[in-house]
Amino acid sequence: MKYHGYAGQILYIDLTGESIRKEPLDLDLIKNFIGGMGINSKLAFDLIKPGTDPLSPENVICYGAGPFVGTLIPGFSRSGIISKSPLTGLLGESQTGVSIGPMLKYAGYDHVVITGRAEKPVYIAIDDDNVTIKDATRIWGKEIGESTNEIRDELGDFWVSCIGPAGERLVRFANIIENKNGMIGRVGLGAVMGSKNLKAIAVRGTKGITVFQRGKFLKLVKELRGKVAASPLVDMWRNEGKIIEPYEGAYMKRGVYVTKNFSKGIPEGVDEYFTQKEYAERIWKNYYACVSCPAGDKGVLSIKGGKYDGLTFKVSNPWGTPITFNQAGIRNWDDGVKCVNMTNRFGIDAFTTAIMIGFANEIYQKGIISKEDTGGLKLNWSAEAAFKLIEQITRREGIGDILAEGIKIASQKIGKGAEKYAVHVKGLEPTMDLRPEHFIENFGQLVDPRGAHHARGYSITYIPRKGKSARSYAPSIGVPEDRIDVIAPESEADTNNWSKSRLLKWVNDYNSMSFSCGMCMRIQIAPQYSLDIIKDLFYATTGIEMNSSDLLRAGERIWNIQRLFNVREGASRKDDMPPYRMLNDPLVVGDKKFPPLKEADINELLDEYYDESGWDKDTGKPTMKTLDNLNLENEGELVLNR
Amino acid sequence: MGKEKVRFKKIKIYPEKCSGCLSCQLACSFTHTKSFNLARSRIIINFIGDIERKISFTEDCIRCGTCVRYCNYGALEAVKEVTEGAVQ
Repeated sequence: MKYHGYAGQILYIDLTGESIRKEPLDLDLIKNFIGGMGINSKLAFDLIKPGTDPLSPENVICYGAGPFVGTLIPGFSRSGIISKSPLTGLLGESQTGVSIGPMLKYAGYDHVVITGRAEKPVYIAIDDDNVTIKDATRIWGKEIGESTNEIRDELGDFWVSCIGPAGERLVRFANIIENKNGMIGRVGLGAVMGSKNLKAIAVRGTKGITVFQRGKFLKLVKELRGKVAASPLVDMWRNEGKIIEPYEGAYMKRGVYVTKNFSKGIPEGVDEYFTQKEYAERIWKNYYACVSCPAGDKGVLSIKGGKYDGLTFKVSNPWGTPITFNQAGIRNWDDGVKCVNMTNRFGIDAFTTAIMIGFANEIYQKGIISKEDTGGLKLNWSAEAAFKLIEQITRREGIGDILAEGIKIASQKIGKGAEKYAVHVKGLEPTMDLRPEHFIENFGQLVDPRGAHHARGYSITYIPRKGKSARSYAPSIGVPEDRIDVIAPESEADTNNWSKSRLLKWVNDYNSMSFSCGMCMRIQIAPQYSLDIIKDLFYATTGIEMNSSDLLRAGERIWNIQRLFNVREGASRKDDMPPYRMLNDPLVVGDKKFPPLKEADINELLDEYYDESGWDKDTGKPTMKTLDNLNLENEGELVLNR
Repeated sequence: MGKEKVRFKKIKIYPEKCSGCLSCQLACSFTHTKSFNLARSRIIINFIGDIERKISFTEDCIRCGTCVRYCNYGALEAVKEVTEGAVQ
């Protein structure tokens, strides 16, 4: 079979036996699971046995890049990795736009599956057809930048996906970092690599990727590049942090982004502490972009003046990530940027680290842990405490050894009521609070298979929208007309009283499909696409006939097999509930006070979501009927009839 | 009427504006080799992972200007000096 869009092979590497084999990419696998995240999900479901310890040799790492990755389609450079997460014990999935995915495809592989455990530190070098397992003893222990440079010194101009000291020490929220600043984050996949003694994968490919209809493909690409470039949001995201006030500031004022371990709001955040003016004058230096992206919204930061004068590095979300450290009590650009620099160098998730530090500070202040537990370190929401904890977590020293276990396990180990301050869903901390308001993205955090992250719920509703917005948006992602009338009836066109939870089901299906092709969810990119545009691109790129409904159904299949993976590990409806704190503590945001969430309200949202999804309301499991319709009956039998 | 084929004698570079998106390399290889292949592009961007931005051209670059058309960041500018005859 001649492949277009796809490289056409899966590379299997077993580190225990040092064996390497290659298999052709199966057409049925493509039609059912698209590629990238979707095929990774199927591979993980098939290859990871239920109950596997995520840090054992039996866990499997699946790299994957979808059919649009490595071409010129704007904003489709995201590729990622799936494994069983050591943080959640469930499906661990993450993607980055600065990935090695394009190069993997140029070398001839859409997916790389890694099993076993090497006896000593190694890295994998993929040079087109030549795949070798190389000694990594001399780079073990080194930070991300240094490790990447040393591998490049040895091999040449390779693209590198590697772990830092945190992954080596099995910190359960260690990242894998691609090309020095692309974060495979949130779910601890760096620790899975560390557990396999695998420091890095380096790849160089010279084979290239063809497309099926060159003329049609270029026509579509030109139109889409024009649409992305014309968006006024491009300049706001690209230059000088112009987006900080309208985006971050608005969320802070609404109480969606909060501070100090979700204990309160920070409505003054961007007016007093993280101002755009200072960011533009002292912090931001330049933009950079993911492969094939005309938006260029990533940033080179370079601090001018102050105690970190000259500190220069690249950050994927250059303003949002430093501000995240307000969860750890940090209230200025310099210290926030310094924290991000440390987490990126050590290979540890910045967001989770900020929450872990916030959690540690809060339970210290509440007297649950003391100076004896911290080795004398006073946890008073200071930057000095944050720096020390980042180092201790990375090295698993002192209290850092417990915090390195992640919020769920650490709070259980500490006990004494610490669990009440552990804000997470399925073991992963949310990015957004739900107490002030519900919208698709923050509700989506509850049902996301990897735990509380908003990305798979990306749609139109970050801000409150009227029913008519939902009615005009829904057809673009393939929601059938009869369902639109249930989700957002005409009678609610001018109100906000329509079903975000029902629309979320369709958003999840659409996103699962489009993300499996490689789509970026940022607002300059995703709204320029629709199901029909992706259908046209898919055919022009691959030559494989999939109509809109086939593509959306593939997305639904991907979302359901991810759910099934978790059900097989014991997850059910109870794991979709919000964190204790959000159900019990009010949230004060400036002069506003939002009551805790009511369980009944959340249950109603979940009922609607499960109903729309064809999942059992009592258990939250997909029903056999739903799985049959998706041709997942064999997978369903394996899980539901165990 | 044939389409006028324009060749550019020189492409001016502004590395400080380059985003590293590699669209120029992708477009170049697609135009000249019919596949997306960074290794066969005639313009080379060394920016992946690093701060310093470098732009260079291989010896077989014919200054066709494709890379310029696909740069969204103003990092490449075609200086038109030679126009060849009309071609089909």
